[in-house]
Amino acid sequence: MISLDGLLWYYIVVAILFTITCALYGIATRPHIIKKLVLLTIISDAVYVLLVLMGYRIGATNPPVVPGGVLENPVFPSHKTIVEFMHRVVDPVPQVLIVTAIVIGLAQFVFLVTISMHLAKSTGSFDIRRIEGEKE
Amino acid sequence: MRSKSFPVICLITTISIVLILAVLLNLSGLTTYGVNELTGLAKLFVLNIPDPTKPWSSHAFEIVTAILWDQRGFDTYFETSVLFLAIVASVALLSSYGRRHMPESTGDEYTTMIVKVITKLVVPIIAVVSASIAIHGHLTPGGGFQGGSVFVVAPVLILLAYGSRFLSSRGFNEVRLLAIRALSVTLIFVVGLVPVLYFLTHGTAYLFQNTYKPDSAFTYPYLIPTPIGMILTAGSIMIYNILEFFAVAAGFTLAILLLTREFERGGKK
Repeated sequence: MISLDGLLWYYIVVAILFTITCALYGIATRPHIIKKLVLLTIISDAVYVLLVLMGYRIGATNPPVVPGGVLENPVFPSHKTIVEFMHRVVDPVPQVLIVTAIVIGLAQFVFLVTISMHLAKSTGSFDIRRIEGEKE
Repeated sequence: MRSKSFPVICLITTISIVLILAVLLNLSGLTTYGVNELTGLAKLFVLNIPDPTKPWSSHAFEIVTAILWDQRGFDTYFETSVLFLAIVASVALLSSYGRRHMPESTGDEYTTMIVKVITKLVVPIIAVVSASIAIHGHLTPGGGFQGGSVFVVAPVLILLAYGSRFLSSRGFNEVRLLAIRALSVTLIFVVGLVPVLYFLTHGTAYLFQNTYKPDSAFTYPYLIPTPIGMILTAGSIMIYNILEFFAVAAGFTLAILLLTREFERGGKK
């Protein structure tokens, strides 16, 4: 018997995979460059959510931050506290992967927007079919 | 020429790609529901990073930022460089050198009083919150990348409400922003290079080393005594976070400033 928690888990995974399918299909078939860029951000965000979801553990209630961190006169946690903390924390490794991926994705997006803008200025259109000369 | 069956072929291909991806993810145990144990690597990080009695400790409360700048600091440096190169490529394509006499907008054509007043109220709050996220990166969720990304919302609001002349006339021109960006990336590498100087003169130390290791006595100060108490800096993590904050904030402000200028010029060549 699968629990409500498990059903919710599979629902989220299916929703993310559906989003990735729609975005991939759109990137392949839509002729407008701006639509392609929007779908590219949608697909990358779906992948980020999938990666964060991979770090989830049953019963995890804490982000990977040890409670009690202050700037002045900090008290470091004891070994016993940390072992107890380890059993209710999510996996930090996938989160580390996406922190830089998000910022680099944003920088690449800026670069792609720049290139598309120059393309549109020199050809007068954002439509791939018109740029390739297939359609007048 | 595209045939009539092109969308159908695309649909079948994408669905099969995604299904293969789903099966692979399920087989490798990454998204199967029912895992309640951390992986060995995650256990190592969670047990070692916040515990100052362990030899591999980072003396930081935030495990994500500690992994980012201590355990894999060299990798993160090159990710920062990728970001820098993407910004430089955008600037190279957008740079307005040679057409300096271009009229800059004051934003009056497309904003109202409401937008301007709200921007004036919100921008200081955004700046303070982003600086707080970056400075407390080793204590609470956040860090240099996150703080810098939050800060970029402020220049976007200013550019939309007041136009690009507002930023340019107050010293935020592209030369200065690019200088801040390049200086921050260079300083990050210099901070990572200090242990190598120690290695050349004293004893064993590693590139991008944070605090002491079992076979290396080199350490950045992680608790600094001040009149108001001991300040926790977690070694070099706080320095990296602040430098990365300036790098990300200046880089994206520059890109958005140049994009806004092109937008204000309209379709003119």
